[in-house]
Amino acid sequence: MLDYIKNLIPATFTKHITIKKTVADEITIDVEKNMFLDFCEYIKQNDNLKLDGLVDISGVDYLDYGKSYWETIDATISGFSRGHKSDINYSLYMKKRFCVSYHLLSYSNNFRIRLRVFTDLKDMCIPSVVSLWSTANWHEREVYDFFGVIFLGHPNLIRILTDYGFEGHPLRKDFPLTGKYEIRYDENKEKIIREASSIKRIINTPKIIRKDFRYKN
Amino acid sequence: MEKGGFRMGIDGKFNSGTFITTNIDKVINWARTGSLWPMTFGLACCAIEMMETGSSRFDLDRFGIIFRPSPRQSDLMIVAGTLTNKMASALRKVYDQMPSPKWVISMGSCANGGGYYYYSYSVVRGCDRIIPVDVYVPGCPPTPEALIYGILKLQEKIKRTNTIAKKVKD
Repeated sequence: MLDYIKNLIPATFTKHITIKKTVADEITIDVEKNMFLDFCEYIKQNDNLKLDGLVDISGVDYLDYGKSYWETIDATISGFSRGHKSDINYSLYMKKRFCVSYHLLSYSNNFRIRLRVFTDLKDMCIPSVVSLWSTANWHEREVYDFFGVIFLGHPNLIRILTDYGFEGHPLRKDFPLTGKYEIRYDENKEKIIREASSIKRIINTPKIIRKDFRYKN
Repeated sequence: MEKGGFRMGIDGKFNSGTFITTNIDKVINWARTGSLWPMTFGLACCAIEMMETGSSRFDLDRFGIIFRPSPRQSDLMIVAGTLTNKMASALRKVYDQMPSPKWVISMGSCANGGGYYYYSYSVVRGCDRIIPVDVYVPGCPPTPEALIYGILKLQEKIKRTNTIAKKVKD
């Protein structure tokens, strides 16, 4: 399958993409941002590929990815609460921090691939694929809502799931988990008001974690 | 007073049952407890249990409870599920639209106090931050039996209210 797809991609694109096989023989193609829309158009319209079904769009925040922060052995000291720790060595502006992944399905040829486009905080813009797959409209709004990725050419790029007037993008790794405000009903004002969150940080609460045998060594 | 007489609002009997006496409060409370019409406010998986409570096996109809699609026709609101920040204003609006007297049952951990989502950025930590709650039903989700028990507790609470007779203060 991998070779089949490789042979079908013309030389104009090969410089700008990397094709690889990931877990369970899934095919992932990393595409450069500037060639992305052309590439999508090509794989949708080529008869041998014909990836005309867009199954899902999701965002990933790779900040702190692969670091020991999420391992459970030392969690008694460090805790899990993301966004509360300040001593982690990372730069919010790291290269390839965010990725948007597109899960595509070819109905006529019966195979699936995954596209990935990387972006970072300095330039959060990615071309929108609403013109190719109209289902991308709400999916891109969701990725915008949770990660702040801006899809250029989207007809209506507004938040889709979070609260009206919500600030920030909650699935970013540097977003505080408990949020910045909480709401309650004020009897005197007769409306629902917003207050700063009263939740205490919980990172240093003692946790007892036994030996985790998922990690071999 | 006979057994079960309180439920019917009957206070006493004379002349071998030819005359019965009662007071208006008891009749009112009998009417209120016998026809609690809940506003259907299902928010999450608790709503599935609420539906199950309403359907044939547990059969809320036998308590005179019929789910209403409109707040204007209901006097009970069962908040079944996670109340998010975005939903909170809608919940309050629906509560305000219900005619008095009205009662609220908070169903499940999320509605009681945030539950699993206590540390979330988008969930109200208990629906009693938005509306006054009469009965809290614990569970995640509560079984239909638990919800029925909560409703029966609410009926007991309603029976203690005085609408006409006021308590004389010393």
